[in-house]
Amino acid sequence: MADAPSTDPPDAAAIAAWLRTEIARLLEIDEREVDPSVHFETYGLASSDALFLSGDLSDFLGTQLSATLAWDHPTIDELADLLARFLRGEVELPSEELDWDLDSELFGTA
Amino acid sequence: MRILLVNPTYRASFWTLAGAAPVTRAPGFMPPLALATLAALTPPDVDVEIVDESVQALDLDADCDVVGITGYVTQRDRMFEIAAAFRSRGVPVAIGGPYASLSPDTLRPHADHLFRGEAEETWPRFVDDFRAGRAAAEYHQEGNVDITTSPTPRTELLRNDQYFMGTVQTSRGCPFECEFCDVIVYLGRRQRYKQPDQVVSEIQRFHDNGQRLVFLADDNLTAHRGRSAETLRAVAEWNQRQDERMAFNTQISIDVARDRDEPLLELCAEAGLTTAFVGIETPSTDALLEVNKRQNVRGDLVAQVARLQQHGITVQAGMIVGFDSDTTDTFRTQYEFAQEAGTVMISLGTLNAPEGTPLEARLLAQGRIRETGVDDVFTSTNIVPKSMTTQELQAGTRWLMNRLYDPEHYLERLAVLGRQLPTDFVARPVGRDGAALWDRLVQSYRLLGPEFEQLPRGAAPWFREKDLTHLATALIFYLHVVSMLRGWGVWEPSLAREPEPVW
Repeated sequence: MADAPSTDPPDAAAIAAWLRTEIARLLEIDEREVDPSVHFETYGLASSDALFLSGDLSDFLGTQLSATLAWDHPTIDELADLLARFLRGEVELPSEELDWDLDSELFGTA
Repeated sequence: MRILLVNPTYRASFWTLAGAAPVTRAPGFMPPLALATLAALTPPDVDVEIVDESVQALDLDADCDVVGITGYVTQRDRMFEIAAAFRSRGVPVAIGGPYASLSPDTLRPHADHLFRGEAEETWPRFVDDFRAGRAAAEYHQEGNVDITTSPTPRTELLRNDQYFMGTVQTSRGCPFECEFCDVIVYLGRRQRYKQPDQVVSEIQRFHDNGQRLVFLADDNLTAHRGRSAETLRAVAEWNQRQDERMAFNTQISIDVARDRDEPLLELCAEAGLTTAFVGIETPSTDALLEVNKRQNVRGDLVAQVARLQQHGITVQAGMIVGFDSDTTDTFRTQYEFAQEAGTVMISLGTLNAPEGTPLEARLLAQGRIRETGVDDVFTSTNIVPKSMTTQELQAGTRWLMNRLYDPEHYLERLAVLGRQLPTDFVARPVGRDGAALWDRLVQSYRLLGPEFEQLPRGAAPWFREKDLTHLATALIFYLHVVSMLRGWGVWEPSLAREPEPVW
């Protein structure tokens, strides 16, 4: 599970504003054309953009976020609301489990 | 009658992705197509089981009437172990495949029934003979078979969800005469093709199983322009009808990048080809000519790599050091070539002379072949180098490997690739599974350490508006290589900071 940062978390409006700005920049459209209540795909956001956006959003919020959030909460309003509640410590976010021991034996028995 | 077919364990190499399995969640690289083909060649009233040790455990006490073992030279020791275990219980052992074909004398003492060459004709004959109690000690396919008669492999016998990609063969053989190549020794230079509808039908089976990446296991997919175009056209037409497109990897030679071949490259892209292993070997013309790799000396290799990548085909470059004309300067020129060409994924090795090749014959005559194990697949060679010492060759190779896979240097090559890839491609949506894979990639790079953590994010700007298959493949490959080099004990990051090899 990702850890929530402890100070000055942005609220839902701030997160939504950030998402709106970034998506408008990616799509090269005016921010006013980005409707926060519709599915990301509706205004032509490529799935690859959504993937990279999660990294930029992680930087903005100062916490590592799963890229799958954009698929599970596919509108600006929904995603911003969830993240704001997470930052206030009200909900947990799922994270992809990686069970990886770098020093494990990889090379079989041959 | 019950037949057990076994693909023995093999050690990690550039041809596996075992080191990245926690990220890909696929312990196996690709399924053993040869065994699935043998199963299809077996009469339907015979019970056949396939065990691939890369994805499942083999029960050495398994109940069967005969065990069939395939393998490459890298599987040799395990082939011997399995054969001995079954023979000790009185179970007859049949051995075939590439290594048995190239080195029958080595395998003969371990087999009750030895297969040399392709098995489409000999295997059904063997099964009949075995049931009649008159199976021969050796089955030798003289010449090559007509692969249009090769049946659809019984891939339903495989654990398909355990592999990074499916595999389909559209042709066998390669017309070129590279001196070190053992494939042409047993598969021949006359290229033989399956019919396009056979190929599409086999691809469809993997698609039906949920696989979205298939390796076209050809020795050289594009060598025969006309036949290749026919196959690719059929695959492209099939792929365009799919809701979720298939991506393909394969092996081709660099000559396909010349101007007159442009339509073939476009067909490759339309078919869904995203990665191709290309034996570039070296930027040195002298070295290429020395081993008869003439298809690589016509034109600028950097420009030819660029042309492939501009068509959406990431080049996985096979590179070799230790040619007769190679000197201690070669390692630096190899590095400079890779960085300029943007060949991100590089399978680097020292020149070896495999059994049965013209190179082996030439060097045997010169007294320059020596015994070596097959365990150290990276720095070991059975060749006595000509223009440097063995120690210099090993030290230089080690330096080159670490320099190439330094995270900063890898990112530089990713930037070249990202700039070259086209923006006009048929999009394969990432999907939630793809996003989860990306999460695991990001986490794994964080686990590798701070110098690696920025690799996925650092590469991202170059791949916006590009097919992310390329970036994901390169990042998965990198994880595997780093894991593998650590396992081999040759991961020495400090070497990468040296501008020249340290002797």
